[in-house]
Amino acid sequence: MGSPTVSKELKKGSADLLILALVEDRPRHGYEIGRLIGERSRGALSYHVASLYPTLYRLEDRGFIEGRWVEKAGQRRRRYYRITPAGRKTLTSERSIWQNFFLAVDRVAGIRQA
Amino acid sequence: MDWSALVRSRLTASGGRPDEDVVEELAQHASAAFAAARAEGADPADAERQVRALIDQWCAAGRQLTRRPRRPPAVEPPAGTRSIFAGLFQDVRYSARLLRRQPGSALVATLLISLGIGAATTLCSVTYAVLYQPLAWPEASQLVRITEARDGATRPVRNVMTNAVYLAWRDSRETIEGLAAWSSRNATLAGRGEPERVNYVAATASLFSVLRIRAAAGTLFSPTDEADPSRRVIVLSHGLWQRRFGGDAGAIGASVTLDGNSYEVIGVAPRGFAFPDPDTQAWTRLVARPVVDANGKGRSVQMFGGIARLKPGATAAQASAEGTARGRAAPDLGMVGTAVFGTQGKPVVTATPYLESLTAEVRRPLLILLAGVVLLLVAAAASVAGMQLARATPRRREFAVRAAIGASRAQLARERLAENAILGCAGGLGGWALSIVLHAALPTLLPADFPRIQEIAVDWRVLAFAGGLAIATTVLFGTMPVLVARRTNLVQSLVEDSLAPIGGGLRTRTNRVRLVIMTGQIAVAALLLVGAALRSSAAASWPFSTSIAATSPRTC
Repeated sequence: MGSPTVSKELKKGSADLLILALVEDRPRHGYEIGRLIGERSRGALSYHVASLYPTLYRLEDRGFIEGRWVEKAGQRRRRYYRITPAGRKTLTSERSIWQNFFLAVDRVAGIRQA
Repeated sequence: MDWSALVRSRLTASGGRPDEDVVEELAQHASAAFAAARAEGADPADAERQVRALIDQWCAAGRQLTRRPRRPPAVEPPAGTRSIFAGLFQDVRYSARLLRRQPGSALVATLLISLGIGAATTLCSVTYAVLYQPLAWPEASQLVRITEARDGATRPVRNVMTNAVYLAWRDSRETIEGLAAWSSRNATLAGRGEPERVNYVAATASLFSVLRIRAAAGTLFSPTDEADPSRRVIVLSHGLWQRRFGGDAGAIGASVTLDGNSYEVIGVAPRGFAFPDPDTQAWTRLVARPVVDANGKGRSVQMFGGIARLKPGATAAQASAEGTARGRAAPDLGMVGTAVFGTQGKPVVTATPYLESLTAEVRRPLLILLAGVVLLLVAAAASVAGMQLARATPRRREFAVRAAIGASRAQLARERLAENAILGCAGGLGGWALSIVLHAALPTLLPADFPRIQEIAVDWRVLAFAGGLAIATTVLFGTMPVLVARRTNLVQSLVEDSLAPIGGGLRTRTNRVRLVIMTGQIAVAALLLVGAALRSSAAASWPFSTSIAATSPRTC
């Protein structure tokens, strides 16, 4: 039996946290963000382009990330996204929320591996 | 492969509105997916097929990929405030409202500035017109006043030249082009109208050529006229000609009398010509007699004013040396000379630039007065600066709150400057008006013999100077409160009570600055008072002296 798939609702609720966490250290473009989500979650999480980019645009409109076109030598220009100070605050808050949620669920359902 | 065109066409086909940023971003994603497929070993055709399938999936949800427009601002800023001048106009209106709320201090500040600017403008105008404005005659810088003294003289004899020096120098000139002498007189003029008392000048025939003056009508004296001393001729001033003859050209050749002596009118001086002063209304001929008469027994001594025109390149010092040499070669004046000069010493002739000699007595007092008035203006500006600092103290909290909610330092500084500019403009206008009034009153305020008084006038230069002074004064008293406010600690201002503490002493920067201003004002006031006291004690002997001046020819 393979790993249970992550429900749509959980994916939707965690999208902001995942994207903000990935651009916390350095700016990244959309393809890289999508690829890293799949790689680091070992395939458990993947986001369709039709949901990834609208999420990026929504976060940008709310001021949590900032997109900028960057043209590097020998490459076509790419849009990179970096976290803003407001985004960092939101990321800290989201991490805390998810951590508390995880601990609460663990206390009830014993989800942590021994 | 042009992924952008493919994405755009797919998005359009799916009913979405293709935002170009989205198209380009998805094209980048497609390009990266193509490269990843190729890296995994797919051939180009397979990789392209995979990416096309991905694009079809993306564009199936095309509407979700439409970029949402940014939220519009909650309140659109008014169109008018985008202009820098709109903000300035608002500041001026607000500042005017604030000044109207405290009319007393605004009035005092305006009066102080007006007094300072009015007095300084008037004094500067007088100083320039009297001391520095060139004389109205052609090449007036070459004219020198000739005065004669004696070695070892016991008392000064002002502005005299004797007939001995005149005659010795008139015909042998190396440093001067021409030499003239004159003596001021008054007499009753009659003929063509009611008799009237007039001031006139008896002058040698060379006077008008030395001054390079041309007649407005008829002719003037010429040096050849000295050959016929018996002919009595007179040149009228332009004003006298207009008044008594109505400007009629028929006045030339007419006859008038001076104290019963008949004179033929030969010409009219040009309009505005005034020598040696504006009261002179006519010129007659003066004949310089030889010191020793034809018999060789009697001596004739005349004293008059002397004026000469330097040759190009010659200096006043060179003319003085030549005049002294000519004077020492002239016949001795004998006992008369001893009586006049108080000594039997040898003649010493001095040539002084005419403007300098004309204004010698008033030069130092004017410059001292000017310095005093400038100090007064600085003191007035300092007073206003102190007042503005005091008015700004209760508003510290207001400025701190406004800075805290977003007003920039530049905006707050602009508002302060607008307030000071209003005071400066009002003070400048008041200074203009005061200057005009003072100029009109000058003839009654100044002594009757004040030199060049007729040349003091209010013209565009005086008004422009007043305007420049107003700007300079505004900058002087206006920038200080702004500079002090720049260093204000906003947090401290918000926390403290906005009222200045009673007996606050030197705790605040504002109080320290005001103390410096007050100290400067006291120093200036003390300086002016001491200067005025010293001047008053010396005023009894100025401008009068016990010296003998040339007012009429003396013959002994």
